[in-house]
Amino acid sequence: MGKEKLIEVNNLEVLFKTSGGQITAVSDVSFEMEAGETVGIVGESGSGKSVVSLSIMGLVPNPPGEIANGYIGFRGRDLLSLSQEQMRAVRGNEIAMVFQEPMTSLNPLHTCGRQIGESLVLHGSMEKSNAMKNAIELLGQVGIRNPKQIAKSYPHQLSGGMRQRVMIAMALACRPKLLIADEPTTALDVTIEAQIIALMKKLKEQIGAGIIMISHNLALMAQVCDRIIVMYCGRIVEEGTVASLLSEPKHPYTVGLIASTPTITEERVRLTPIEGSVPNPFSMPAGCAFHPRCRDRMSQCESTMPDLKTHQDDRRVRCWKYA
Amino acid sequence: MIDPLLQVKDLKKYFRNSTARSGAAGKWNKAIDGVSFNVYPGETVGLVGESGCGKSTLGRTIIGLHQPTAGKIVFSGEDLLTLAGNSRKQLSKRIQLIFQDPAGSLNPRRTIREAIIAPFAIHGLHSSSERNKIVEQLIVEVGLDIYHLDRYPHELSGGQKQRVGIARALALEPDFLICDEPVSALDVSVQAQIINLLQDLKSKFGFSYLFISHDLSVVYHVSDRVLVMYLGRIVESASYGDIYREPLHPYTKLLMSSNPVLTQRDAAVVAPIAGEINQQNKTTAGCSFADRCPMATGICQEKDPMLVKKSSDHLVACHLYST
Repeated sequence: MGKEKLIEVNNLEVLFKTSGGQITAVSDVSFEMEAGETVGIVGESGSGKSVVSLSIMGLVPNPPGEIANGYIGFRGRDLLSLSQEQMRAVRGNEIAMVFQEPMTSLNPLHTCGRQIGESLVLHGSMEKSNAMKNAIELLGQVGIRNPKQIAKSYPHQLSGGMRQRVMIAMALACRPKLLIADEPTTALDVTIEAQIIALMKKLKEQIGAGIIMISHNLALMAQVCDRIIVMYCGRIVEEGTVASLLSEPKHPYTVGLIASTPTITEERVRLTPIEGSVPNPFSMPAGCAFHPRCRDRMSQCESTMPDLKTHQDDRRVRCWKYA
Repeated sequence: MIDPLLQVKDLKKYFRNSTARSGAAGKWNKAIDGVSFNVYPGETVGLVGESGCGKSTLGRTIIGLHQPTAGKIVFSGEDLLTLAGNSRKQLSKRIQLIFQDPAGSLNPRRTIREAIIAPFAIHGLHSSSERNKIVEQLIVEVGLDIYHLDRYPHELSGGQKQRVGIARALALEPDFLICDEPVSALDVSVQAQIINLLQDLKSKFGFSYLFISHDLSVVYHVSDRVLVMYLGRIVESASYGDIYREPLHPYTKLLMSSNPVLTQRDAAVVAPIAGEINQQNKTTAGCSFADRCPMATGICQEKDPMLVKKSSDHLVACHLYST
């Protein structure tokens, strides 16, 4: 009898109705996660990676968004069947989130200590006085050297790195089972990013949370994740363990992403960019969405979308080359 | 011995702090605090640093968007700051700027053709038919099609807009281009296209670049020489090879080890150090990095290290390397 999955997504499909028509932001997305794993979802504009995480959190704005199809299971519970109120009890408590722009996620009118305490009061039924004490302790755990002072500060008084630490403290306050981090370090300097990533890794060890990390930065994912899911135009195109995906990428898009990423090695090699650009969501190509940009395209690719097939070593690839 | 194309000598740019924000920093925000370097013909000098290091301010001051507080900018033997009127205008054609935000630097109400022709109009160059001919050559040079000339910016993708920005910068046949975060706003797959384009154009036309970016991987990839900036000063200057093989300044080492690269997953990582850039500027004497430096000693708190030659091509501002 297998372990209960932390997250189980099946055939997720998310549509958005816009003035220009309807677009499919996410299509045929299925994946699973065990407790304590770190899974990265990498993709560029229009990949749908953020919409996947919003779907798990129940935060897809409706309208204009709509989860047209699919199942999202969290520790055996069907999240899509929960009411708004039930979902609120899960968010911030069992599933926590850290976003890219801490300034827009933090309430400018309340002190940081109070905001961290808020989830403890709401979800943990803690007394307010106790909550503040806990908040200060959490701030210490996220590497803030003067937690009492920061607890009394307002978000605008803090630097970007500090704010993100406050967000992480807030996210971890209720010891969630799953942390979803959507571009958590994109707005931060690289030396601060390194600190935040080290912090996330340490906390993951301590509380055993699973992490879904969403980013466009493949190199960063390589440092943090156990597994990587590559998305393109709303679909999963490849999935594999970090080591195997990076050393032997299969899908031409993954190959292209790796060849496009400047890296620091003794010998400098000219980058091999992917031709063209991400298609307009209103005029998606027929067949495989990547085919117009693909060096290896065959006639089949122009007419029929390949299925996501599982290979050895837990690798999944959506490509006619590997059908 | 070739003369440098650009000589920056002890350049300073201080901004006045609003009285409300003065605090410990006092009256002045010392964005650039004594910067000197040369750029030789056909060379790409990379300028890397994090928030508050002054790299963007430096680019903008060189091109004349800011008036320096002190120091000299000598271009092709002429002192840019004392030059006036027509001589200044003539010289200014030879230095061009490529901006970070391709959308923000194009007038949304002008066609692409009009955007690229604008520099000719400003300098009163070429007849109308000549202008159109040159514009058509330029648009193809940057990898777009002639039909793009009649489009408006909003009809182009981010990468396409950046190509237009480059075409516009090339219009006046400059010798020297300042690229201020030219790929930071672009998807990874498009970044690689633009990086290759900039390198190809340089091979073809032989200009020099000052390539400003917070992304060390990109800077390393394109530069002949790298300048590392911290809080308004250059802390290290070296060839890209030396920066890779023998980074000297503790901040450079920190940047190198914080920077996530695809190939580095198992490499020994220098532990990320605590602390952040003190944006309030130095309030005390001594090295501006001393409060974060794992190697700081007594003298570091007292005396500001000068930029000294470690070898013919490698300069560093750090007491560890003073004789």
